Amino acid sequence: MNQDLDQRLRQDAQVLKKQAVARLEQHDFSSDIESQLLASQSSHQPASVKIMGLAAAICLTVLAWLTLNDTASVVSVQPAEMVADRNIELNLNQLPQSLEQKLNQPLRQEQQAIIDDLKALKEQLLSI
Amino acid sequence: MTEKQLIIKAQHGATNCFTQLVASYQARLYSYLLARCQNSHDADDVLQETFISAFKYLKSYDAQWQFSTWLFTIARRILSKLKTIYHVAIENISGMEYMTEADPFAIDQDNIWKLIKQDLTPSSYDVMWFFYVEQSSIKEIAHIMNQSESWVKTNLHRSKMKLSNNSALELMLEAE
Repeated sequence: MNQDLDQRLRQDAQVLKKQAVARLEQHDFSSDIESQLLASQSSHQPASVKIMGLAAAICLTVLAWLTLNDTASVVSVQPAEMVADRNIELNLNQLPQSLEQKLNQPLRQEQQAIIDDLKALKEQLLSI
Repeated sequence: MTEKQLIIKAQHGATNCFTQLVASYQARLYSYLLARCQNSHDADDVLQETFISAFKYLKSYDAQWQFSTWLFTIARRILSKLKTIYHVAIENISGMEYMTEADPFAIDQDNIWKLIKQDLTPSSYDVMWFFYVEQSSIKEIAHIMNQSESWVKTNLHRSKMKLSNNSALELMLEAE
């Protein structure tokens, strides 16, 4: 049986091959494939676009590296607690000055305005 | 121009050289696909996809293997992908009657390759095809199947044993 089987397998495969050849004669696949290959080749990006993309990627990588590196140095030099203390101290020192400025400035301006008015009145009286 | 020269030129983008390679291998590949696919339309699609993928990845072709071995390896991968797509598609159209037109290139009922398809797994079927039809070496078949040589030998032996117990096949051979 084995010999018969071997022979029949080869024989029937030949029938399939003939069928395949008949189908290929009906439909020209090679021209279809060639047109698809040409289409895929033309849709490729030009070299300049690829280079620009590469340059952009390098710039972004460098920027990201610099940012990460910068953050790391700040953290390593000053501990978080010290930075927080300094911020509070600065705020407390600056607060009275800003309050004084905000409260006294309008009063000073008004005082100056009154003085100016009085001077003007004095000059008018003297001229009479 | 020799096949090697055609491959080298095609690797440098010469589509006309690649078309010559297509012309020399398409009948072998297509008869395998006709035997393996559900219908001739699938075989057409896989054939085209195989050659397009081959052109795309031609630079990765290793010359220690025959060019046909490389093409059959790609075709098998695309076939397995197609099978996965089919599973998804059939799940999506559950409850609907799936109508198909009569396929003029479907394998005849009395063709032995049609008969053994029911008995063998797709892998065993492929091993049989590459051994009997393509007459590939065990080493080449092992490369296509991504298996060891001993796996191929065992698979081939088991497939033959299985087929020798098939009564329908016995009747077919006796009738001859």
